[in-house]
Parts: sequence; C-alpha cells; structure tokens
Amino acid sequence: MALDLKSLLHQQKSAVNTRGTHSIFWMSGICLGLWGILTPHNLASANSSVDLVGIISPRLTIDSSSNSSSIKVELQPQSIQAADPSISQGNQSRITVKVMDLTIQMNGEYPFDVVFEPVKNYLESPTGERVPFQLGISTPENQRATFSTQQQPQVRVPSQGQALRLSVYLQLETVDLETAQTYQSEILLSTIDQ
Amino acid sequence: MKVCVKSESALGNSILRTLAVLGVSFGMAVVMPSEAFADTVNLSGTVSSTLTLSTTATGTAGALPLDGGAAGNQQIVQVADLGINTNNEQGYTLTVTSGDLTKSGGTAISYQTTTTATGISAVTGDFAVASGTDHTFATSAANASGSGDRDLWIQYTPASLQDPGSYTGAITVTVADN
Repeated sequence: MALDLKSLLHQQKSAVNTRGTHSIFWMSGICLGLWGILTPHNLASANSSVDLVGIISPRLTIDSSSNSSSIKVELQPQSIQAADPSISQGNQSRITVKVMDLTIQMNGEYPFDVVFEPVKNYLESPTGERVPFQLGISTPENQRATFSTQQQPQVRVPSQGQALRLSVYLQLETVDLETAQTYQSEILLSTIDQ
Repeated sequence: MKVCVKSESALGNSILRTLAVLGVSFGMAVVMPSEAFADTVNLSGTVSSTLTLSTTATGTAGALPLDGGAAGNQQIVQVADLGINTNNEQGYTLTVTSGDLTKSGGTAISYQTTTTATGISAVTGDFAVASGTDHTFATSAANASGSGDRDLWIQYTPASLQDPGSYTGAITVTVADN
C-alpha cells in the first residue's frame, strides 16, 4: 500500500511537470510570435505601376476579306440586257439593277450598324461618261431595297461574327448607256457601334 | 618616580598601537585589491537602405496588340524595364501583380506577368502563376545600380471576336528588402 501511494505521488508529480513544460513551451511560442509581429523590422520598400492600354478597332469582313472597307461595283449594259431583256435602253428614265451579292461580318460581342456610302453618286465609264445612281441594299429581313437621296442605306450586322448576306442595287437616273463600256463606282462601308 | 616610569610605558604602548594600526592598514592595502574605475563609450552608426525601384514603360504597354484574329492568338509582350538596386546583403523581393485588361461593356482579357533578366525574352513557360496571382522574384545579395535590372512581361490571349474598344489595365510593382 505504501508503495502504491509512492507510485501515485510520482505519477502526479510527473503530470504536473509535463503540464508545466507544455505551458512554458506554449507561452514562449506566443511571446515569440507577438515579438515577431510587433517588432518593427524597418525594411525598405518601394513601388510603382505600369499602365496598360490596348485598342481593338471594329473589323469589317467583306466576303472573307477582313481588310476591306469598300466595295467596287461594276455595271455592264450588255449583262443588264442579257439578264433582263425587258429592260431597254433609251426610253426609260429610271431602272433598278442588282450589281452584287455579298456577305459581311463584324468582330465584337454586340451588333454593329454598317452604313453604305458611295464615294461618288455616279457610275463612270473609262471614257468619262457619268451615269448618276441611287444606292439600295436588301437583306434577308428586308427583301426590297429602298432608295433615297436623303439617307444612306444602313444595315445591322449581328454580333459574334455572324455573317449577314445582302444584295446591292443601283437605281439609275438614266439608261442611256454605251453597251461596249463598263461603268464603275465605289461604295464605302463604315461602322457605327451600338 | 614610579609615575614617570608609568608615563614612559604608556607612551611606548601608544606608539606600538599606532604602529600596529599602520601595519594592519598597510597589510590590508597590500592584500586587498585596489578599487577600479571604468566606464563605456557607446558607438553607433546607421547605414541607410539604398533600395530603389525605377519603372520605365515600353511603347508596347500603351499600344498592346489585341486583335484576336484566329482563336488562341496568344501574345507575349514586354511592358516595362525595371531598375532595382539595394545595399541589403539579403537581397530584395520583387512582387508584380496581374489581372485583367478591361473595357466597359466587353469581356475582360486576363493577363499573366513575369520578369526576366534584362535582354532575355520571356516564353510561355515563364508565366508560372495564374492571372490574379502575384508574380514574385527574390535575390539573396546586394546589387549595385544597373546590375540587377529586370524586364517585365505580360502574356494574354484576346478572343477571336473580342469586342472593339479601348482596354486598360495597371500592374503594380513592389520591391522590398529581404
């Protein structure tokens, strides 16, 4: 019995010593941590910044040609007659001729409006003969081209590179054309961000 | 007569006592160490840190090529020259942020950052941390001005149909002594 009591006392002393050692250990750790946090280290530092700028321009793709911003239109009187024999020259004061089909696309996440603007409001032959015209555009949504001297044709191009097919029409002020000549003009396409 | 004898004896005793006291004092003085006087002169001096950082943006930083073109048109461009020097013998740590090139009403273009030794071009493998995470570079020795300069690079991939407009961003560069 005496031996058991001695053993018990020894165990209790050991437990007390272990707890004391742990307490000292943890207290030391906390003190060191606080010292590390609170002590000013006086390390020098410096900073600056770099500004970044980049610009993405609206990019119009016309018939897969991404660098185009204009289209050339040609009118061959012979082809007009061949395509539509009912059109005759010399008597009519105004006719409508489809001169081309094309596909346009825009980069970007939102729709763009594309404005068609003739460089000159006339077709011109190599000999300098000029034939005034008005420009009209038809789209799948708007099958019939309208012509106005006051307003340039404008179409809305879908976002995310979706292609828009359209047709270009010219309404000629006169049909007194030299059949042996090819008449030419140029139309600029410009974009308006929506 | 007896009185005189007594007087002479008393005088002799007094002398003897005096001599004894002197002897003891001399002995103690010899045996005991003498008192020393000392003081200290404290010396101190401060060497200031010479840590400096200069950032010179390249022309490309203000005109980043962003046209996506074909999908996966990855771009790696140098955007700044960094001049760093420190007299700290433990060197310096350089921290560079990364993030997004943004524009109102369009999808952002995320970019990663890295640095290389001056004149060394960055390659894809150099961009080890994701966009939004800081790139760090550390040295372990002091370096003089002009000897520890770095080039700052970014890597990004615009979408093939990235929305047109002006995209902007800013990189914060921080350097601290170790």
